[in-house]
Amino acid sequence: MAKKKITRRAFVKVVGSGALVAGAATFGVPTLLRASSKPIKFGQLNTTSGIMASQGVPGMRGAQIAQEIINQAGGIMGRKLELVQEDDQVKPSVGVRKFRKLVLEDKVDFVFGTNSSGVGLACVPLANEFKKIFISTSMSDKYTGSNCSPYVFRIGESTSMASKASAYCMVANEPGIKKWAGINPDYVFGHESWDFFKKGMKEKKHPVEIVKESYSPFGSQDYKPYITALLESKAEGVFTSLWTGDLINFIKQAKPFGFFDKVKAFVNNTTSFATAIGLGDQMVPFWGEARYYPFYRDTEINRKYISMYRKKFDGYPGADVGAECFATVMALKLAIEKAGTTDTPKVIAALEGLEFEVPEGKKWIRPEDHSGIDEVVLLGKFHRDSKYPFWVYDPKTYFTVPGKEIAMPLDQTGCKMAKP
Amino acid sequence: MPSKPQTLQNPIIWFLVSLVILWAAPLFLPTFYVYLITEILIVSLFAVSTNVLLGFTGLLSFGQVAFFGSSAYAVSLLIKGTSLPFAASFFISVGLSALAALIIGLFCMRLRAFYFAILTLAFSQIFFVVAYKWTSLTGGDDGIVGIPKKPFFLFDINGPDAYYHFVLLVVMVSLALLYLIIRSPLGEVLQAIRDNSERTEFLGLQVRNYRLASFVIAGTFGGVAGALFAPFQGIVTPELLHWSHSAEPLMISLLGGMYFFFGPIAGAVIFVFIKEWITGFTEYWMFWYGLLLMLLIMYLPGGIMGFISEHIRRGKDGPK
Repeated sequence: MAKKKITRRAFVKVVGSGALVAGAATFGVPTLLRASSKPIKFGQLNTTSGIMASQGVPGMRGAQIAQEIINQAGGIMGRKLELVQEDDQVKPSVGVRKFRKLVLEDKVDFVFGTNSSGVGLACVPLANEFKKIFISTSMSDKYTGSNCSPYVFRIGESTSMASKASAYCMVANEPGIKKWAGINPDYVFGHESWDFFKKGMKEKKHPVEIVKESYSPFGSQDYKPYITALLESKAEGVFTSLWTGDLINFIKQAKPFGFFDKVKAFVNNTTSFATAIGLGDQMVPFWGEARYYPFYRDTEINRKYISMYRKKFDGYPGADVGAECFATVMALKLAIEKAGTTDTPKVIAALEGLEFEVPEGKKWIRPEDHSGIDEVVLLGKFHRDSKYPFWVYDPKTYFTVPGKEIAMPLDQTGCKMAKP
Repeated sequence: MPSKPQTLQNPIIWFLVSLVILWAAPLFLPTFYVYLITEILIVSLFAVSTNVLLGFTGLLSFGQVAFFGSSAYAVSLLIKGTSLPFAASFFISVGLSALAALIIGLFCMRLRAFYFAILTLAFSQIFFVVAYKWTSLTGGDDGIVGIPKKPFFLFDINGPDAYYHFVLLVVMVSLALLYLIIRSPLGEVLQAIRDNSERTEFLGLQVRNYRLASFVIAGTFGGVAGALFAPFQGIVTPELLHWSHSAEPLMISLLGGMYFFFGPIAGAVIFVFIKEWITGFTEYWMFWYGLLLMLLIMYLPGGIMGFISEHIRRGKDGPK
């Protein structure tokens, strides 16, 4: 925040609240007590309609599980946690409207969520305007780069981390492949992903020939033109950042072309496990990355998360955003308790440098740019496992990169953080 | 049943009274509703401008977003990309919409009815594709984000109340101008064309030119609405230019009563409130809105204003 000036409004507020406290004291009404037992409100934006709902609905669920755990244990500083959840329809314009509604109409204390970086980045100016903390569960590096702000955080892995790790994994596991092509969604995430994948290859000094770069509209129904073009390019390896609904459509349409036999390696940098669940038996053996993969860690919090999820809802907690929303609610709770207040600047300070453990593993929020950094970035190659009704990573293929190692160096983020 | 709009006793008094009431609204309304009324004002202007074509000239255009959206994009690019004052960006954008309407109008006026509607749709899709594909300029699917509200001449319009007052003034002045146009001899000719274009032609009037004038007027004021919308929303995305968005002012006009100047305004109030209210508990708000629209068209073909004016007339002429 800028230097405090005493404006007329602030003056009226101070005098007014002084009068209130004085009034309360005279009449012996425990105003302060009552005020502090008011619930703390978190506003959430995720996509619960359309083909991306398979990521958004679990996002809502993940937050609800965290809420249940918190409220059963007595809330946050004795106050109940209330969630106000809104569907952003994966449209930036809707996201902006809903953000405004959450702040002005529902009067939430904090806002978090979004599945698409397109939506989340559109909300950043509003977070700054309303001086509200906004924690993104979508992946763009811009939250903590060119768009960084004291009010904006990204809870976990960024596009650059996931895409570069995908490149590293391919260099390590498929060193023979030189001809690469990309099929990515035509919005900020797709463009960033492809650029960072190529950058990752360059960092490993892997000689790469790019034979095709293609971008498909977000939410496309027909991938056949892209599939044939990729096959014609004679690419040996194909990188994609299509996610969930889009990737499911792509794979279903590519299979009849023999795409996954002709292409030696197919690697996806996001939400791969949710795609595997969505495809069921129609899955193909590709390399995937997921911010949350339930079977990697056997920790208490992970077991609890999985069992609560399975008890409360049908199915496995497969979607990355579910775990990210869970993590966000937990991080906010810890920060509020650390700050001892819901006051925005103090919670910002408490979030900076926060270390905490969630189902995905240990997370750390880098204070300088508000980037969430995970213990590791994990990839694996899917195979059939009779224990589950869906494909899972072959444990022999686990490929990890420590989060701190792959996080963008501070001098490259482009973030000029204003002083809060 | 085209009927002449009801003559209000004294429009100037109505104009001033509503201006004063609306101007004072932020004093007693929470900020959230100030945003909502700002949106209603902008949508009203867009719908009324579209209705100059639909209700007063009898032309069905599916391309009105081209002017609304291109103006919104132009103003955003000028605000973000240049150091021009906002007023200049605003008028340039509106001027560009007028020019676009003139050029597109010259092509479309050759065609009648159905073909006209489809050609306007096609033109607006060109704008959509440009916004969607020209990523380096328009940001592609992500659009242009974080459009600030720069001062308009010397007036600071940053902040919800200040921007609301700015929008209110611009919309009220625009509506007054549109009202005067509709009431002018030009407006009379347009309505004559709507009622019977052949007969108007026989009177020796160049129907095509009058239609073109109507198209340019609608496009220009649609552009005003777009230029107001971009800083209000703080973001413009290609979906603004998608042809399906053109249906919005058409449905609003139908809902409110397209043969009445104020019909689309009544329609906009209901449209925005329904959208805000129903989306609160279901994402299928379009379903409920569609249902409402079907019922209205079947039982209230003149829209809300048609229904009201019918009742006033019956009250006056009824048995004594």
